[in-house]
Amino acid sequence: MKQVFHVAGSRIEALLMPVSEGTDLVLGERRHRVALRALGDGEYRLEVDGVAHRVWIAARGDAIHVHASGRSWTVGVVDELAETAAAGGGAADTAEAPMPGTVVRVHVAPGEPVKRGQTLMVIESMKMETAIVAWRDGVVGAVHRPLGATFDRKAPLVSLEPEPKS
Amino acid sequence: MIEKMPMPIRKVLIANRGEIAVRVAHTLRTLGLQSVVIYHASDTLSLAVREADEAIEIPAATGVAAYLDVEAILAAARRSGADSIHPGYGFLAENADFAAAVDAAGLRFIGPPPEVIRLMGDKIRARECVAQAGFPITPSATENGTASEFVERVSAIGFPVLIKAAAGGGGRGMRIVRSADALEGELEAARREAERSFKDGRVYVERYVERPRHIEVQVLSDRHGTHVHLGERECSVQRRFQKLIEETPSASLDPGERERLCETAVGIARAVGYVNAGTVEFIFAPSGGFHFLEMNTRLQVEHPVTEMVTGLDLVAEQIRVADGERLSFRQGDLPSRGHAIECRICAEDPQQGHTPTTGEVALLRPPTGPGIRFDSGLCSGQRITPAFDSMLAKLVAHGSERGQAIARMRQALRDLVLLGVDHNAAYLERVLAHPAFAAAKLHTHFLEEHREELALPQPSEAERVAVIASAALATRRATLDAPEPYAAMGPWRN
Repeated sequence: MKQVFHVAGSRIEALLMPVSEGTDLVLGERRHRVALRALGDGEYRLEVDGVAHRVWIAARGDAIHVHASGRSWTVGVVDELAETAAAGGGAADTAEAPMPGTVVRVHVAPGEPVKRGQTLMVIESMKMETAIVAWRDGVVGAVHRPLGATFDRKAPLVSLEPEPKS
Repeated sequence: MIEKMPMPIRKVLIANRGEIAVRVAHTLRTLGLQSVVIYHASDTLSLAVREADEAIEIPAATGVAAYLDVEAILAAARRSGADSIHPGYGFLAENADFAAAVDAAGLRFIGPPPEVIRLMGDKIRARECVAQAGFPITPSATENGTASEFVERVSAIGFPVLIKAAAGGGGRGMRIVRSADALEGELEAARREAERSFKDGRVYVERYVERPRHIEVQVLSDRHGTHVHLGERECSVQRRFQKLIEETPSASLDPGERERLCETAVGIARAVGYVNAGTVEFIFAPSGGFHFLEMNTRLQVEHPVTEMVTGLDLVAEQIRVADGERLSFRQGDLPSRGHAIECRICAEDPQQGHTPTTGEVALLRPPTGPGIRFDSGLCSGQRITPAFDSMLAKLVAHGSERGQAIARMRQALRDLVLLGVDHNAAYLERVLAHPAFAAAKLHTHFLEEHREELALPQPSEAERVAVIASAALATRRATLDAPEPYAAMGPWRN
């Protein structure tokens, strides 16, 4: 079964192959003999090519969190179907939250024409204000979060009407 | 102001949440006192609620609103039979009206008197008071007279300048202005932000010291006019004017400077009639010389480093002072032993300008070992949201000297297992590993100056394989009904 992961900024395809003496992890041209044994409380003994590592693993939603080599790593588990769909979509009509936070000012309403560079909304995250500005001329389609609302990273904030096809 | 204390403190309401609520509850237990914690519904499963003897929910639309609801908190205190209130830090800790309302309700506020909080909370009045008492402040200008006169006075200070909110503090609402052209626009923006954040649009402007050090002094004053200092804390490693790493003693002070600094802090505490634990913050210019910055009239986030080197429990001292007792020691009685460092473990992404992260605590295993202390309010399953401050925990390391404290801290940062939310522990470890940190060449722009060297290094091939192998094998175990030994599932399977 092939799996796709995002780790440390790279997209990685991994394949686990049962072999007679255990399991192989296939990464492109490379192949490693791997084994994982649970030690309790989220701790595992991982063996890679005969070398033992002490790791901690926890899975939440579409991410697997690993503590290895003295630090934590977040591994995104990629759904290949969704990945394909997103690549074809036109996300450029919506400003997404670059970080989780709160809406502290809303400067525009749906239907309002805006110019590129105009401030649409101001958000605040941990004592830091950030302006969400229009990335092109257009008409406001929707304000997705009202004043005072909180949101997570990547939440849609303001949409512009799709540009008329010329 | 010696007055008879009606009854000793027996039951304390903690008007706070998170690690500081847990930390205060711990001392109360140690002293044999009862604890009551207030909480918002979003904190129902928090460690603070579990650690306290009693917990009272404060209904509110948002978490922050609950911890700021003076009437509800006083009602909770009355209902629980608490005789005093510990405010922790943040929220209502430096709210003079709250302290006055606590007094008026016949309860003891574990902190300074309301008038001292009010004086030091108004940064303009505080600076005037300190200057009048003969202590150094930075050249500054306040808004009076016409707008053009104000701009003239600011220009006379010399650029760059720093705009600050009169009611601010803790770095909030500060703006650096490097030229006269930008001044009026920045002043207007600063006033708006101050009005919105503090409901007080007054600002003042002071000279901005480039590459300064931020060093503060812990003071402790009883109700009988005795004031002592508990040494200094070097807090120069900051991002966005917020402290990230604090240590004591400061490696940059010689004994003469240390004595002058600490004596100044005690003099300021005396001049303002301070009572209880407080912190006087100073700015050090690279050329030498220091100026008063502000006074925080509460327990400080970084108080554990002082506890590690003095052996004191500052919360216990606060309670004794609030009880009307005299300080049990004099200035000379306090030995400072070794070196202590604190790192603030925050839910933030150092690679993305320290922007906050969210998640859920999936796994927590605090580090242990000689000289290690881990203060947190975290528990498994806890949601980390942008509703509260991004600080998750404080990791403190003590050593016989600075090098040992750094080595212990670095190992503890590597040993900390905190999964489910991205945090800055590995980044902090890189900061402590930097040669300029070891050499104590610190200033408040240290992290920006060394940004490139502190950036996340590419993982080694061995690390990459280990992480992918962990993820791939864990995913398989979660999705396949695999035979032994794969049937022994981790907690993530729930």
